[in-house]
Amino acid sequence: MSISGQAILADVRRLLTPGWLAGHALALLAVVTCLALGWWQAGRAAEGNTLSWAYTFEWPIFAIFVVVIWVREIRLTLRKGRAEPAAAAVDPVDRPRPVITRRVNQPTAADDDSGDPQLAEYNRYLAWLNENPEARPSDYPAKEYR
Amino acid sequence: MNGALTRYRVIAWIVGVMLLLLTLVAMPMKYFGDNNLGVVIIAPVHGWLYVVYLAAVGDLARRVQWPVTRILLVALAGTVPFLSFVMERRTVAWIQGNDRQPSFTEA
Repeated sequence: MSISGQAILADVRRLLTPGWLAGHALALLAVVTCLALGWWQAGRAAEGNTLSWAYTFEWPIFAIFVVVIWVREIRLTLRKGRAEPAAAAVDPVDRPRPVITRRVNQPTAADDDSGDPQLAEYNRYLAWLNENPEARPSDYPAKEYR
Repeated sequence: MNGALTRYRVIAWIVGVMLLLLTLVAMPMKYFGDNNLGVVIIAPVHGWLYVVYLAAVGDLARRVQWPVTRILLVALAGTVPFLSFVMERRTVAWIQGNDRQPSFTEA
């Protein structure tokens, strides 16, 4: 058997577990019930009950909703089955996180701010960053460097 | 995601209010007051708004990994008077990541 044939067979088998068989039966029952109720309302509408016209079209829409949810479940199940081997190879959660380092200029006593208040403030900011390696620049209490 | 949740919340409230109008105003009018008018107007409007509600629930379900029972529960809650408002709060709690029971004293 070809590889794709085997894959399809594996997919089909995944949808024939006891739980899924019950699920298919329930979904089918719900669809048939909705369509039958729509048919019943169509009969009442034909007899002259105007209110039934809306329900004649609404019940089939409810059936469509059931089918949409049904298909969604089938696709989720198949995707889960296919994704598992690949997910084991590359698990984004377990991968070590990259280490981000930030080099902070260290102001020293030799720094000459020449009496410039802006430069002095900037040096204080750098000194603060150096003292608080965990902090982000935006944590600095002074307004200018936020 | 936030857009889908907002759409769901808006239509959930509208459907909830319409359902209350239908069951608390229109139906007593029909069965006790012998006046069909309320039901004739509100029932189809509520029916079609419920279809919109289902679409919003389906759209929400497309974006979250909910078990199918929960999707059906949310869909059916729109048909029960008062329960739709409770379910709307539960849904917001589910989506926003805390599965705790929302306390109803919160605004």
